[in-house]
Amino acid sequence: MGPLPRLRTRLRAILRPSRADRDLRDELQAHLDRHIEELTAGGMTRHDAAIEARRAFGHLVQTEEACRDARGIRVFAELAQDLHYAARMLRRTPGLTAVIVVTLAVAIGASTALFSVFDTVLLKALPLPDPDRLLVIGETSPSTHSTAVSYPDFLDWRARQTTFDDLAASMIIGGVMTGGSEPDRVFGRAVSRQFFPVLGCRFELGGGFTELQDRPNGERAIVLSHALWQRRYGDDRTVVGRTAIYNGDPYRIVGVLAADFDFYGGATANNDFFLPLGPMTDQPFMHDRTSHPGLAVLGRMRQRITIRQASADLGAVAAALQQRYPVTNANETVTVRSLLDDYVGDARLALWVLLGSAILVLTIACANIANLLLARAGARTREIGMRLALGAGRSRILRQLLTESLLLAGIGGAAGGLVAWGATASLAPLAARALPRTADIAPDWRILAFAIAVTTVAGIVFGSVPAWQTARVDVQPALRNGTRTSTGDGHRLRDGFLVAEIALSLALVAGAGLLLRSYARLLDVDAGYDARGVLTLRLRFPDAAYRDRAKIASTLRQIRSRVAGLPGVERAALTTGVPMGRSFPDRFAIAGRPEPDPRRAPGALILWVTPGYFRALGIHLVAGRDFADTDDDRGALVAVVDEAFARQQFPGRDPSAAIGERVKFYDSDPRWRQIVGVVDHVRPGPLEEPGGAEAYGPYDQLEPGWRAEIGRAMDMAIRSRVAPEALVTAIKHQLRAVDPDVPISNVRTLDETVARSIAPRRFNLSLICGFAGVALLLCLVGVYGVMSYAVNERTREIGVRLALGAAPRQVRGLVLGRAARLAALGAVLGTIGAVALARLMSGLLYAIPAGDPTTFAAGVGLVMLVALVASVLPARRATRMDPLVALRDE
Amino acid sequence: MGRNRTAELLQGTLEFLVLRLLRSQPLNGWDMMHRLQLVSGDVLSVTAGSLYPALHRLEARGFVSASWTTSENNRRARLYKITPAGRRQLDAERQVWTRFSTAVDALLRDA
Repeated sequence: MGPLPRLRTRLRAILRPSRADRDLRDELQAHLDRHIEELTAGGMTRHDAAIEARRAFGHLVQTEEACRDARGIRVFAELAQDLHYAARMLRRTPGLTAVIVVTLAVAIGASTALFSVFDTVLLKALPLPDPDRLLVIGETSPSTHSTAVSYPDFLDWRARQTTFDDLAASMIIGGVMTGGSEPDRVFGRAVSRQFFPVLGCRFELGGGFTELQDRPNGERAIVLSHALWQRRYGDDRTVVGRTAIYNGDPYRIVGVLAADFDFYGGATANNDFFLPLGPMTDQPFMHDRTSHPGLAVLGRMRQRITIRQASADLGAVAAALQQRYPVTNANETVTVRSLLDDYVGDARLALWVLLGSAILVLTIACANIANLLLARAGARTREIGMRLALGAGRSRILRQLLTESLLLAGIGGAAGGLVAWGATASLAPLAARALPRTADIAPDWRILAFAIAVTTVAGIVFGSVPAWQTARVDVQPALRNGTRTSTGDGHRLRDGFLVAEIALSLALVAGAGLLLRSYARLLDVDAGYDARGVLTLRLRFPDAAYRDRAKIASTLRQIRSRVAGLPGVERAALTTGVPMGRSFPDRFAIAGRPEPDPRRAPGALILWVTPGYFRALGIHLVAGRDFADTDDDRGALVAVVDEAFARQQFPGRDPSAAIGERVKFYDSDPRWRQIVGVVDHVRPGPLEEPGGAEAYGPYDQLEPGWRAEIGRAMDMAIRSRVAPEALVTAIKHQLRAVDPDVPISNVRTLDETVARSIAPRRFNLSLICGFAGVALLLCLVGVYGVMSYAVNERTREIGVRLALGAAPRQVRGLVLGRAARLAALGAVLGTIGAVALARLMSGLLYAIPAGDPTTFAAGVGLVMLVALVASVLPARRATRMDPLVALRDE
Repeated sequence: MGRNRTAELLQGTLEFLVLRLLRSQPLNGWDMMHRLQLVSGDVLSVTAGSLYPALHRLEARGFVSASWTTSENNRRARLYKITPAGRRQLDAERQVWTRFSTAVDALLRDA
């Protein structure tokens, strides 16, 4: 095969003429042939006739294209052609292509990875039928912050509402499951029989509760979670109808939930087991509308009812109840939110901010790429001018250039997919600690759609301006001058993109700065205890084996002395709740003051502890004395209060003024006891929340009945001289020696507990800092690119200046000054953006105002610094220019 | 912009005329070009570069159909026929055109 036919076959292969295309060519050829025929018939030579026919016809190729255009088939043929051409262009500039693809891969990968978390938490439907119709209903009054509902209110709501299929109530409970090889500490819920039908959840075996079980003195029935069933019964499918021992009492197993059950989390989120609520409703506290254990109410709206309608309906019911029970229900209002909203809680804001940040990074990347392409547009002026001169339409060229950028975006997007894959895998374990619903982050169609949409939009965003700028060239000057014809417009565009990039980066940096400072402030918080070297765990005595009150107290004493005697243990103490664990709000009165109405008495959190608790946790004694072993039934009744308590009750006086005063706690032990010591205030829960007054009493001085009741579930705090983790085995061994049927749970260091509580913040912080870092890096590259290009473009001018005797410093100033001006403009705009972003994320900040000037100033400084650093190299290149070479350039 | 609109107008007019011609009989491109020049007395200079795209546009819109034929002297040509949709389109355009030209005529006479 000769070179020419080979070329032709290859061309045909590239162009792949379709049948319609062949028809078109034949048709036009027939027209020409006809003309030639007529001309030769008129006496012309065949050669002249052919030339004349072509002349008369006009532009053959253009006509062909116009016909294809008219039929609409041209688009595809051209797309293939464009792609082919685009691929060739990208291959010709591998460096540029690589930079763009890497930038895109990082930006698209990061946003897609983040979106996959966003999708899992906020968009993925709960594994329940019609989850949008599930609402969580709470009642709030000005006095209580909780949204828990009293049982009588629940009954009234259920009877009077008109917008729900049904309402269900549930309450968290916990205990011990025995009867197998190992006791299990289990947490579950007591639920009304409507609970499972309202949720619509599926069962692996059996089903939910009947009316016969859900009533006082009803049959003892239990539903197990899938995980507990597997753990205790090893997938035994004959388990329904058998008996489980919970807290020492027998319960008939009526159902096992499906593995995908998810109610505020899987089995670990208080979903080990379920009991009917009915048998507990004969206790008097269940019928108290004010002081009640607190139910969570769940409702399934009827079809085609909106949240607003449901809320109005329950609001009307609540108003009627206010009328009917003015004492207890005054000012009580109903709050309604979707189950998903209640479930994900604060994560929503954080995820929106993070997703927004990821998209900002992507926007910055686009601005960067647009600048690179704009720079290349200058270099392609001649090529484009030539094509325009040869008859290509401007729209055709525009399309060609856009195809190029979309191809780039496509490659970047594909690489970004790989990045997202890796990033999601490494993000997942972090997310699982910080966010709800992140147990498994699986790709779904939404993530794919997001990645494709982001890629396409990115391609159009970074491609359109350079394409428009490139296709705009004037043919004649383009051909005459060659490459150096970029106009003032090109400058302004590039500068504009750079300013935008700097501004967006500043917004991100300021946002990251605010989170960073919040985090630092939080770490600086004096929680009132020293978490280092402290191990905590929870003991739970099975009810049936410990019906004897004295047995609990003596067993606790035994455990405590055995653990305290272990080598490496410095101090071991029991408490009703360690920090960030359980807390017991109580109400108190102080002797010598008018006795308050117990309902309106001031409140404090009270902990009942054994001697050594303060030292075990490193809680500083401010005044007075610690508890001693002599503070028991035989000794005088004593209490210790914290500084907050002392300040609140004895304002304007030294905290030690509280010592000697007498106090009594209505709920746990209403006997007068003397305050003997004052300790530092302890933040009881999350570090962000300071908490109010606190008091401590000796566990051994509690009223015996209550002592045994509370003692069923006690926490232990152990300060050790060695690594706390090393003690765990020895402690478990000692406990088993005392009673193998007492399960211990929540074994972890206090450090770990604290770390868990700030894990969401850490997650947000590390991600947004990562984004800000990438943004700054992109800025660095962007400023460097624009400045280098500017120096190149002004080679001649700089050469002239140098030749005329300008000092290198002046030339350097020229370049750096320009960078500084652009950065300053970006900083001004960026500050505006940062203020807006900060306001949006103010819910994520701690102890830092959203408009913190220090953070903003630091951000501006950082961004300016980056801009200057990035221009140092181009500036140096400008000063080192050889004037002779520079002037010869052109 | 102005030039574009003129081109559009001419294009539309050309398609209108093509439909009118095809209403009487099927024609191929070459014959159609000459018929148009003949009928308009060379007032409308129709080129192949404008006629063929117009034909393909009409075909794409379903107003004409085309098929290959071989003439008596063994010449292959693509023959265009008007479709029922094309007839309706022609009627509609004729009405628009009549109204338009009457209005313009009236204006021109008065002025």
